[in-house]
Formats: sequence, C-alpha cells, structure tokens
Amino acid sequence: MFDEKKFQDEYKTAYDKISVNQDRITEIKEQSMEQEHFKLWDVVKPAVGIISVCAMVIILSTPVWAGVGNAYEKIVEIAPGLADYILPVKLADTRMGITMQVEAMQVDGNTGELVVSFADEESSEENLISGKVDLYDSYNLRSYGADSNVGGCSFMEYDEETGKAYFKISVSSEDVFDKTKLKFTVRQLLVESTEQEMWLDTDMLVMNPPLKEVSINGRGGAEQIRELLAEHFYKTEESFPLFASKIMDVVELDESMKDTIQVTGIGYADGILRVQICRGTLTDADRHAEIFIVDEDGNYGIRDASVSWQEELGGEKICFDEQWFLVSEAELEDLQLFAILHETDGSIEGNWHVTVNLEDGANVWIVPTE
Amino acid sequence: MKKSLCADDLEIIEKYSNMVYRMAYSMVKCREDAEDIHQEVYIRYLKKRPVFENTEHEKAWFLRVTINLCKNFWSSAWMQRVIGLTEETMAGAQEDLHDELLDTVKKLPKRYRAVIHLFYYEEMSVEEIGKVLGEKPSTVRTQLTRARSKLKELLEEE
Repeated sequence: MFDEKKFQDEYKTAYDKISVNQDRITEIKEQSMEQEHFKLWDVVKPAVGIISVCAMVIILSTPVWAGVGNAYEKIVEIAPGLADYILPVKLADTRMGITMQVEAMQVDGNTGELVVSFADEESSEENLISGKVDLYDSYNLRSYGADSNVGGCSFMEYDEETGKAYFKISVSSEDVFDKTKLKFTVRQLLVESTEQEMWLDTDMLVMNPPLKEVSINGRGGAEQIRELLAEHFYKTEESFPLFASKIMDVVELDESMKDTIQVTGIGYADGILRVQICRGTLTDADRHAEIFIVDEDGNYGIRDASVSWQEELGGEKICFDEQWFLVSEAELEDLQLFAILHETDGSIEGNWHVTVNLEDGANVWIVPTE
Repeated sequence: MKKSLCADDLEIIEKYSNMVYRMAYSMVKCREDAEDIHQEVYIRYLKKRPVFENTEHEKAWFLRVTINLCKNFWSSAWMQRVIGLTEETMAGAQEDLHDELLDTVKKLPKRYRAVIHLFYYEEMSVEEIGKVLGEKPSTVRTQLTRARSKLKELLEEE
C-alpha cells in the first residue's frame, strides 16, 4: 500500500537536507558583478551561435562522424577555441584557503594517470593540510570526449617539506584518449585523518549472537550477493520506505561511543560472519572501517555485504555498520580478521575542481603549466 | 546589464537558491550538474531581469527556467554521448546508500520527476504545476497518477 502522507514526509525530510553550497551563491554574486563577463559573453554569443549551428549541420550531415564520435570531439575539431571556452583547462583551484593543483599527468593510449595535490593557500597562515587527507566519497570524475570510462582516486602521500597531500587519479577508456578533457571535482576534504591497523581478537567471536531488528539507512555489496541475502532485507511498518534488517544485539550505548570508532562485536550465524562497528556521531567527522578476512595462506578478502543503521542517544544519532562475510562454519577455524580504522575529525567543504586536457599528457609525465 | 547587483537581486539569489538547487537535483540526480544548472539559472535571471507580477509569478519563473535547463541538459547531444564517470566511480557510492527513498525516486522516468517534486516538495496544486510546466491540469493529473503508480511499483521492488 502506497502511504502518500508518509512518502511526502520522508521526501520532504530528505530534500530539506539538500542545500546549495554557500560558496556557489557567493560565486554567482561575484560573477554577476563583473561586468566584463557579460560583455565577453555578448561578444562571444553570436559567434557561439553561428559555430554551434555550423557544428550541428556538419555533425548531422556526416554519418561517420555522427556515428562514432561525440559532440565534444567535433567541437574540438571544428572550433578548438570554442571547446576551450565551453570547458576551459583549469589546473589549480583555490577555495576555503586550500589549493587543489594538477601536478602531473600521463596518458598512454587508453589509460591515463593524474597527480593532484592539496595544500594550504600560499598566503594562508592556517595549517589546514598537515597530514593525510581523505576524500572518502566526495570526489567526482567526469570525462568529456571519450566513451565508457572507468576511474578512481587514491591517496599517495603527504610531503611535509612542501606541505602537499598528493592523490593519484587513474582513468581508462575503451578507446584511445584523444581530444579528451577530464574534470575532477572534490566536494569535501576530510583532514586530520588517522588510520589504525589491527588484528581483531577472534576470541570476541560469538556463535549465534542475539539479533535485533532495525531500520537500516544503507546497505552495500554486489547485486548478486544482495539477491542471495534477500531474506535479510525486508520492509516493516516502522522501516517504510526504507529496509529493515537484523543486526547483532550486543551493544549497550554510552556517551563514549559518540566520538570514536570501535569494533563492538563479532558474531556468526546462518552462514554469515558479522563484524559490527560503531562509528560515533558523524556530524563533523568521518569514521569508517575496512575489515578483511585473512585465510591461512594470507589471502585478504573483503566483505560480501554490509548494512548501516543509527541508534539514538541523548538526541544524537550514533552510526553503526555491520560488515558481513559469507563463510562456512568450517572455514571459521582458520580465519583471522584484520581491520583498518579510519578516523577524520575535521571536514572542509570547498567544491574544488580542475580540468585537464588529457591529450597534453600523451605518453610522458609532464608538469603542466597554466 | 547593470554594473552591480541591487539589494533585490541579492535577496532573490538567496531566496530561491535552495529551491532551484533542489529542483535541479531532483531532475538531474547529480550534485555537480545541479550546481551548474543552479548557476545558469541565475546567470539567465541577471541577464534578463524579468519583471514579476507577484511572488507566485517570481517563484514559477525560477522553477520553469530550472526545469527547462534540466531538459536542455538531458537533450544536449553532448550529454547524450558523453558517458560520465559520475555514477560509476564515486568511491563508496554503492557502499552507503544514505537515503534509499531518494534513490528510489531517482529511478522514476525523467518525465515524472518534476511533477513529483513540485507536488510533494513544493506542495503545489495541479493547476499551479500546470502553469510551471506549461501543461494542462488534466495532463499533470495523469502524470501524477502514473508517477505514483510507478513509485509504488519501485518501492515494492526494493
């Protein structure tokens, strides 16, 4: 039954949380005050119109182009100046006292790598970037001019001498990168980041632990595994329109849980090895865990599925995860559990973005210049 | 074009910012694209400086321009051919579905997203939605009925 009122309440609550970054509003105001911007546009507009019409005519009347290329490539070929106007190369971006900078890039056929750094703005006296920085899930890669891309971003190192935190972005495409631009955006930086590696004490393992039903606010894992675990995710009157699931009932909440990350339980039931993690309140911080099962040959395996939910304590919401591993009871004997606990106490929202022309980095590592 | 912004402009930018951004986000489903559209809406406003008859007219103008820009965004040859990395590579995107309701609504066909948002979030009547979308109230009513039925289907699938 579609409960319209409930849906509306949930929908409004969800959207109330979404708001535009204040920086963007400031940016609009600043841009609007620059009369030159509009003068430039007034001059360029007719040219853009004419060139766009020409471009469309050529694209539409040239079947080979229309079939295999993409619009951005065509614009580059017809009017490179216009392509740069639409999507200008931008190698550095300073916001909130932090500069994101493209340090180097290399493209070899259909793979590309970029190194970007984050550092305090030159004139800044604050020490915002002073160690490991985490982007977690706040980055975005978008390519213009190539199809079927995949990519990712990983932390490389923090260089104390230069005060720069380096990240490597890898991207690959089915086709050779040619006339392709890549835009890399970071919404939020998590600073003051630490990570702690540890072997978990398998004596904590409880067979058939008590379970309790909660409304979950997230679940992870491959689609096939989710299908396999379908019976573990269901809807109840309370959970609607979200899912409910059963998690280990092994925690007594207390104040100390609000600002730390800890493993709160390990249990096994019905073919699922569960590792429960308390992540504290995440209002101004990020805490997350990577849990691995390690077999007798030293092979590391990641979780098959995960669920997350929240518990309320004194008006605040404490976040929990359970990472699930599908293993047989016999396998438990030789398994060990390894954890990396990531903790970040500060976050800075900036919406930094850089755009590079991958063609510029063909086959060699280069240090780009503006 | 005026050289500087007047107090009214600043007030309007502040007043409708979140409304425009949420409307755009509900349609294009990507924060970054929604921000670009949000910015474009204001550039259009500042270039055109439309004269509004009343607050309703003002609000409807911003919603209509936002929706039109979202439609342009979908239909541009550029966007149709570029397969962005947005959804594929946002680290952890599949790990943590922070709001499953929003994810479900995002699965609605594009044609229904605007009516759902205007009806349930902006709490506009069918007639008001018709004016914003340039559709007859009966068309809006039909779209809403279909959207609800699709939504019900999606929620049951989950």
